[in-house]
This record gives sequence, structure tokens and C-alpha cells, in this order.
Amino acid sequence: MKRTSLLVCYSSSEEDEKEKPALSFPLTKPPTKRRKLPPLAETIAALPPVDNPALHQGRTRNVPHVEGQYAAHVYVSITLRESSPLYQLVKDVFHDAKKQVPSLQEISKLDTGRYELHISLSRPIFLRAHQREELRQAVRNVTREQAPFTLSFASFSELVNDEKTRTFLAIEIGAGHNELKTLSDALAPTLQAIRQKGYYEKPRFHASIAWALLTPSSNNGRDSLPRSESELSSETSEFPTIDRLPETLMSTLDEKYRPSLTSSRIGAFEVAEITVKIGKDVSTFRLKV
Amino acid sequence: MPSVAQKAYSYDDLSSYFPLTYPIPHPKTHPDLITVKDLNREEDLLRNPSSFRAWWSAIQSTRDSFTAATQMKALLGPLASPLARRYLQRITYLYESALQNFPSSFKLWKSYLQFRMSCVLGKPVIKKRAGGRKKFGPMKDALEEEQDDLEEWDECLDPVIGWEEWKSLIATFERCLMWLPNLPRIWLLYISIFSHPQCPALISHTHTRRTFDRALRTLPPSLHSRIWVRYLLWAESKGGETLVAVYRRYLAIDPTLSERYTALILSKSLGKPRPLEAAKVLLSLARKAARGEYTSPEGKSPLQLLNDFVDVVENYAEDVGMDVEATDESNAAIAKKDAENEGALDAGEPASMDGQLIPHGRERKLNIENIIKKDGLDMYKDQAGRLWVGLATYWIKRGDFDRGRETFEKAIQSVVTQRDFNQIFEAYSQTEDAVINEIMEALEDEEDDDDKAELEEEMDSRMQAFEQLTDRTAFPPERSIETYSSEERPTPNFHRLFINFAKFYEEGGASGQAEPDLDSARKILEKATKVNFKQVEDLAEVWCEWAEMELRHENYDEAIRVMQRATAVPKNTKINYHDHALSAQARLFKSIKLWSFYVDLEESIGTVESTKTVYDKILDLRIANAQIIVNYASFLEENKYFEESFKVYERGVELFTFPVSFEIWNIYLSKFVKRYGGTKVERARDLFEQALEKCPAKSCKPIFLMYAKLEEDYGLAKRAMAIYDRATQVVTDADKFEMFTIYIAKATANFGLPATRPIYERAIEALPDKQTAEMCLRFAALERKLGEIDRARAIYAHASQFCDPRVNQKFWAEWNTFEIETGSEDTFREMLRIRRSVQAQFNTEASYLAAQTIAASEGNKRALSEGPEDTDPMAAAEKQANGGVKGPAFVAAKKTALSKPAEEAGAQPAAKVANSEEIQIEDDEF
Repeated sequence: MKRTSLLVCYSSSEEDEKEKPALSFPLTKPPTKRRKLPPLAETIAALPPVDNPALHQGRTRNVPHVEGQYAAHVYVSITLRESSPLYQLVKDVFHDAKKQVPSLQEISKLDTGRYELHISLSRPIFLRAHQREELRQAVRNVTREQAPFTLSFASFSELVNDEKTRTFLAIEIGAGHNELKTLSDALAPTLQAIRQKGYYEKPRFHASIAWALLTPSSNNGRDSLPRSESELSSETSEFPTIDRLPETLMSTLDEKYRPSLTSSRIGAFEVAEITVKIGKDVSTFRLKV
Repeated sequence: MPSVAQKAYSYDDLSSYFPLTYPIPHPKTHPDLITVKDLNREEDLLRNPSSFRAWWSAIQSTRDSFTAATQMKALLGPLASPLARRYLQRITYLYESALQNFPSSFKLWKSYLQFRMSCVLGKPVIKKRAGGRKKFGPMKDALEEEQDDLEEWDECLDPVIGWEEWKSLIATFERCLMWLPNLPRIWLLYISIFSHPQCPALISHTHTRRTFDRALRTLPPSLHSRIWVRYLLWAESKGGETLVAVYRRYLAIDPTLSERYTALILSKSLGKPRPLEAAKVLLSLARKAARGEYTSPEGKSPLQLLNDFVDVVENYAEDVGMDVEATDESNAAIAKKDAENEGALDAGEPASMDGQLIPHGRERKLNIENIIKKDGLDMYKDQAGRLWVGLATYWIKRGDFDRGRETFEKAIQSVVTQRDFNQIFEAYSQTEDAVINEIMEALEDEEDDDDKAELEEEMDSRMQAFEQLTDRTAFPPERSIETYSSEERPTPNFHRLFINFAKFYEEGGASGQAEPDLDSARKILEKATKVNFKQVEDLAEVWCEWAEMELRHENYDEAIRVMQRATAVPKNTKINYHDHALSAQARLFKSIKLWSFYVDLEESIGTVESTKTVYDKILDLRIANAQIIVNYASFLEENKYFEESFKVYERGVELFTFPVSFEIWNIYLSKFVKRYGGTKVERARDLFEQALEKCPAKSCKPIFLMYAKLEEDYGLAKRAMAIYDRATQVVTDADKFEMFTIYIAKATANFGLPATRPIYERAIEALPDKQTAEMCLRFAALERKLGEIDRARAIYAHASQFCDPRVNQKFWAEWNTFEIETGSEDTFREMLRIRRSVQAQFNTEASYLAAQTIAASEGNKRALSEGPEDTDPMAAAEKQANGGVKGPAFVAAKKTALSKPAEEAGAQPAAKVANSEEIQIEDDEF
């Protein structure tokens, strides 16, 4: 029997082409590179809203948006008036730092003429609609157990987010650390019950005042990120990135501002309530009177 | 004459006929041994007494003439004997005369007709039927049942010789129906004649059909099904046109037999097969089933029916379908019509086609291509393989190889699943292979060169095509996704579709060669959770599968999160789980399947606290079943939360009533006793009292036993006795005997034998008669052990009233031995006297029957050992010789001409008498 080489053309001829070389040069191409399944039809999964990092100063979402899921966050909020000395101090620190690291961005919480510093008590929490009330209730219970306390700032430091995409310039908490720890520990069982991550084992409570993008190459240790490298670099290339904040920055800032930061006139606050933000909903709970 | 019939034959009368052959009959003693015709033979034998051949032929010829006489019996059946014929006339005369006076007496007519039938059709064979007759169910079952129940008869009157008698029987029935036209019993009796296998042809065809029709016309519709059953069976036995005509009429009122009908008209044993009609019927059934208007009694799905249709089409391609030209023409016509109707009548179109195609009598053949496309391929996209193969085979069977090949090609282009592709591919390559083989064979045989060249050319092209075909064994996988994605039809297993589709992505394609895509799988399941499934269970399964998937990928937190989403409880928990007006999503939180899965998940990967929370939620929703309660409690127990686990049991017994709560109580109480033993006796008592308070009599025995055990182990023996006492009063009669036995045993162990006396007394009062006797035996044994002979005797006397000597032989045997061992002559005689009086008391029909059954089971062996003694003819002969009662035997021998039935009738009572005597003798021998 003679064989004819006439092949019937399938609509999926590209795949044949892809697989052919893989068969002929099995050594050059790793077998792990497997063909992807075709994407789902839109009737099944409506496309998620496309995030454009350009609109957010080059930030990218660490957790993709999911329909029906609410991002929540528990924190202590400190409101600064423009006239307050800490506000001035924060402004000065930012300007000084910006001189050394031009790509630094201010954390703008100045929406209504008020400047807010947030001291997180939780990581981002992702809730389903029915769990929102549960979380509020948990926070309410926690606040009932804790009396108001005084909080003070201690030093400047650099903190990097879990995904190593951004670095933050933060002021760490001095007095009040124990109370904050009590609060965040008290939240842990609830978070555990809804299978969300608790706060860090050894928490460094802080208020962030500025951030900068990190260069992707600096996350060598973790390449399990969902995005491929090329994708990330192409999207954020227009935004300057840094490897890390210069080491000198902290020392200079400490040297220059620490005395005034730690003075009781500037860096001490009474904490009387805790804020829970679920989606765009913000609710506050007063500590036990 | 009646006096003759009434005369009972005594045992002596009948037995005096025998023995016939002892002393050996001789012409001297029996003058009728030799007739005049035999004289020649006898003379021959006298002349040549030493010729063996002469003796042998004499014996054979006499035996032959005897066989000839019995053959007459085969022809004349029940009327073989002159006596039977005479009596038939006599009885007929009497019945007819009586009917002159009572022409509309059902009783008289029925008995008359049955008698006449038995004389012509033979004796009906009575079949044993298990259980009572079922109500008439669906016709399909009724037919099968009736088929088994058809009457059978012994030898009948030969339909040719006895034709006039058969006719007369029919005439009698007709006369009866004139008087009693609307009694179904008469009609059924009449009709049963027609199912006689020997029924004369003159009756069993047209006359039968008309009779059935008359019956249907005369009887009210509610009785029609009983006639139809016979009518259809009869039609089936006749086959051919009759079958078709009768079945068509029946199907007009009840289409459930359509499938049976198609099988019948296709079977070759019943006349010429009618494939066209069968195909049309099957097609209409498939269409109706697809629309939900027909449910197959065989449980076939619409697709299965359509596949049956395709089977018929394949097997009878020429008879059923149009040829290529006609098909093309018809396709064009349909396309034109479709174009005209576009938009206006989309949905209604198949129905109107239905009406056009289905009429039975039409000989118009079917446009198979169009039908398979419209009814099959368009509707069952993912199961199209069989249909495509059927269509292609149809063309090939018709000899249109090109069209067949074209069909295969089209099929390969359009199927959407791997399975269908494989199926079609296999059929296609087999066909091609067969064609090539045929050409090769033809090539070998071909002589002519021109033809040979032509064939070779064809062969080459075929080979080429075949090789092309074998090159593309792979199925393009994208197609399967298209199928899934475009799937919107809510089928019963719709949820499985989503689950499998998600699995497809999870595993990276059907064969796992592509990159797994968990995100897409999640999206698919997410979409699935929003579908309003018919069953809440389906939705629950989707969620469970989702959680399972996360577990498979070790995303334990995610699995829990998924289940938390699934089990989110809405504010209003008063939703009824079975309210189908609500969406499946709204009712999901009450699905126990979902919660069970969730709670299992929490138990295995969660904490004790989280598991408890979930269990509590289930209890709060009031959807827990007994299993959940037991699981929860044992979960808590495993984690050392003993008190809480008991609380769960408490909740459980509150939630459920008996009998469900019985199981919970049972576990609860045993766990409680095991845990606390004697430390919390008061509380345990309280629990037992609670349990017993509501417990119905039939299930409280185990609880009582456990309670008494508790008291025995940790409490007071006296209390335990009180509990047993209570138990004997409360439990059902069935359990009472056992309860008393235990009570007595415990009382003996704790307080000694004398303490059991009052218990025995109460037991004898409380127990039903049969068990009283048993209890009395034990009581008497006890008294005897204690030396109270008189008391024991009194107890025997008391118990004797419940013990039929024939049934309860054990009791009497025991009393007997008791008296032998301990009694005097007087007491023994007293016992015998009591026994006689008791026996007299039990001399009723019911107790006689009971005795019979006992005798049947026990006395069989005895009868066997004694039987041969009585029936041994030699022994009997000796007996006669000794006893000197020769006379009757020889006198009786002359009466052998007595008719057989009479003999039998006489013999049976005689045998019975002997039987009952046998038992009597045994009793006396005690």
C-alpha cells in the first residue's frame, strides 16, 4: 500500500504545527510546555473588568476582582488636621524622602480636607455578602473588651508588601503595641472561622505614609506570581521602579525627625475607636468606655 | 337417577373389586375372559401349545386391541366412556328443563355452561397461583399476567369428530347471552373457549373476532380492559392482518402498547413483517416522548426510541425509506416550506409534520435523511454517533455507497464528542474495508480486461480514500468545548454537565494533555451555582463538587470558603425546602446533603469549634436527621465533650418522635450508662423514665432491658425486678414471653426459685394461650423441682385446656412422663380423662386442620414406614386367606364394570377414614 501524504485540514491546524516540532526535537523543547485550553465562552464567564495600572500610578491588583466578593480591612484611623504638628511632620518627611527617591508616592487619604493615618489590624480580608455582618459583629465584640488606650509613634522603617511589588515608607508604633496586638489577636478566631489569613505572627504595627513600586527583578525568590514577567514589565514600564529604598534614607529621617516624632506633643494619640471598611462601607466601633 | 348419584360407595363395596388378578383369572372362573371372536385363537393355542410364536402373537394382538380402545379416549376426550355420554345427556336434560323455569338465573347458567365446557374442552388444569390476583395494572403487565393465567385443559373432544358437539356448546353460550348479555363472567367464560388450542377453525377465526367485538359493544367500558387482554392475546396468536387490525384499534385508545406492537409486527413468525408501519409508530413515539406526551412503559428514553427507529430503518432500508432522488426532492420541498414558514411557525413545525407522516395506512415511504436530521441530530447533538452511523448504514444498505460515504464525511465534520467520533470512525472504516475487500474479490474473478482495468481504477481510488481516512483518527478537542459552551438545554443531568465541564478544565482536557486551568474550572462552577436547577440536590452537588475540586488541589481553606458560601443562611429561614415555586438557590440552605458534606469537611480539616458551629447551625435550621444527631454526638464524645454530646442527644430526642428517636435514645442511654456507670444513677433513671414515657410498646423492650441492667449493676436488685415487672406489662405480646423468661431467670438468680412463683402466675395470666402452655410446662417443672407434686399437677391440668392433644403433643408427652414418674394409677387415669375431654373440646374444623398440618409435617415419616405394610398385595392375600373373608373379594371381582369416576369418588373417603384412624391409634398408644 502506498501512503499518500494528503492531510485533511482541521480548523486546529496551528496545534499540529506546534506539536510537530515538539515531537521532532524532544530534547530542545521541554515537555512541560503544554498547550493551553481554549478560553471560556463569555456566556459562562463574563470577562473581569480590565485593570489598567496606568490609572493607578502603576499599581497592579494583588487579588483579582471577584464578583460578589468584598474586600475588607480593620484598622485604627488617626485623623490629622492640617494644622496639627504631626501633619506638618509627615509632609516634611515625605518631601525629604521624595528628594532622595523621586518615584515615591504619597498615600493620599486627604479626601475631605482631613488627613488620615491608618494602622492596620488585619490583612485585606475577602468576604462574601453574608459574612459582612459577621465581621462587623466580631469587631464589635472585640471593641467591647478593650478600653481606650494611648498610642505613640517610635521610628521610621521600610516595609514591603507580601507580593513584593511595592515598598512602603512607614512610621512604626511605640506605645500601644500591646493593645493593638490584643485587638488583632482577638479578631483572629473570626478570621480563622471564615478561613482568612490573620495578621502577622510578629506584627509591626505601623502607619504608612508613602510608597514606591519595586522592580520585578527584585522578587527573584518568588516566581509563583500569577502574572508573567513580560506582561508586568510592559504594563508598568512607564512608571519608574526602584530596587528598594536607599539605606541612608531611614537613618537620615530618623536622625532628623525622630526627636519630634517621639515627643509626646506630636506623636501620642488616644485610640477610642476601630474602623472596619467593607467594600466602600466604612463603619466605626467605639472601644469600651 | 338422583338416588344413584347420591348413593355413597362404601369402602367394602369398592375394595371388593380387588384383587383382580388373584386368584389368577381363568375362563372357568371368569366366563367373559374369552369372547366368541377369540375362539379361533384359543383353538390354535390348544393345538400348538408348544409354539412360542403363537403365544406371543396372541398376547400382542390382545394388547393391541386394548390400546385401540384407549385411543378412542384420546379422540373423544371426556366423552370417551358410554357412561359419560349418557350422563351428559341426562344432566343436559335436567339443566335445560330447569332453565325453562329460571331462564335468567346466573348461577344455573354458569354451572350449566361450565359443565358443558368440561364435557367438550376437557377438564381444566388448575394452576397454582402465588398470592391473590393483582388489580389490573398497565396493559403491558396485564398481558403478561394473562398469558401465564391462560386456561389449560386435559384431553378434549376431537374438533373434527365432535364438531357438532362443539357447535352445540357455542349455541348454548349464545342462548345464555341472549338471557344474560351483560355479565362479564359469562363473556369471559365464552371467550376462554377460543383460546383452547384445539378450538375448531370454524369457530376460532371470524366467529371469535365477532364475539370479541360483541363483548366490547355490550359490556360497559370499565370492563373493556378484561376483554381486550384476551382479544390482544388472541390476535397475537393469529398474527397477520388480524393482529394489525386488532392492535390498531386498541392503540387508538391506549398507546402504551405501541412498543409491543412494533416488536410484534416486525417478528417474522407472525406473518409478513411490516417495517414501514413499525418505523412510523416508533418515530411518532420518539417524537411524542421528546415532547413529553408519551412515557415508555419499558422505561425507554426518547433517544432510545429513536435509536429503535434507526434500527428498523437499517434492517429494512428498502421497505422504509425513500431512494436518493425522492429524498432530494423531498428535502428540497421541505427546505422550501421551511423558508416560507420561517419565523412564523418554528416550534409548531414538527407537530404538523408528525400529523402528515404518521397515518398508519399510508404506504408513503419516509424521508429518512430529513427525519434523522430533524428529530435526532438537531436534538441530541452530543449523542449523534449512533444516529449518523444509522443514516449512513441506511444508504449503504440501499446500495447508495456514495451517499453513505458522504454521510460519514458529514458526520465526521459535525460530531461534537470524542465518543461519537470514535463510533462513526469505526463504522466508516469498517464499511470502507468491506467495500475494498469486495472489489478485490471481484478483481480476482474478473476475466474481461476492460472491466478489470475499470475495477483496478476504482480500487485505487478506494484505497486512497481509505488511507486518508485512517490518517485522521484524532478528534479535534475544541469541538467538545463548543458543545459544553453552547449547552443551554436543561436536561435531568444538567448539573453533571457543568461538573464534567469544570473537570475538563481542571484536568486539562479530556485526556489530560493540556495545561490544567483551575481558574476556568472555578468560573464554570460559579456559573453553575447560578443556574436554577430543578432539584435543589443538583445545586448542592455542584457546590460539593466545587469543594471537592479545591480539596483535590489541596486548597483546604478555599474548600471551606466555598462551602461557607454555599451554606450561607438567609435572614428568613422559614422557607419550605419542597416549595418548587422558589428557586433552587433560595432553598439551598436547607439541603441536608450540602450540610452533611460541609460538616464532614469541617470534621476532617477544621477545628472542633468550627465543626460544632456547623452542627449547631444544622440543628438550628431543623433539617438534621437522626444520623446527623448521632454523628454530632459521637464527634463531641471523641473530643471529650461528654456533657455536650449528651446535650446533643437531648436535642435529638426532642426533635424526633418514635420510632426515629428510638435509635437516638438507644445510643444515648448506652453511652450515658457507659460514661457514668453508677455515679449518676439518679440522672440515668430519669433519662430512662423519659425514654419510656413516649416509647411505643413495640420498641421499648431493649430500653427496659438496659434500664434493668443499670439497676442490677449499680442500683438495687429490687428496683431491677420492678422494672422487669413493668416491662412484662408494657411490651407487646410478641415480646412478652421473652420478657417473662428473662424476668424469671433474673428473679431466680437474685431471690431464688420460690420467688418466681408469683411471676409464673402472672405470666400464665398475661400470655397468649399458646405461650401459656409453654410457660406452664416450665412452671410445673419448677414446682416439681421444689417437690410440690400436687401443685405441678394442678398446673398441668390448668394448661391442658390450651393444648390440643393432636397439635401440642409435647405437652401431653411431658405430662404423661410426669404421671408415670410421680403419679398413681388414679392420677394417670385422671390425666387420660382430661385428655379425652380436651380432645373433644378441640374437635372443631379449625383444630382438625391444624392437626392435619402437623401430621403432614411430622407424620410423613411414620406414614411411609407403615404404608408398604398395608399395600403389599401378598400380605393382603395372606390376610384374606387366613381371615376367611374370601367371599367379598370374589364377588366384587365381578363388578369391575363399575365406572371409574364412581370408584375414585368412593375410594377417597375410604382413604380419609383410614388416615384419621391412623392418628387415633397413635394417640391411644401413648
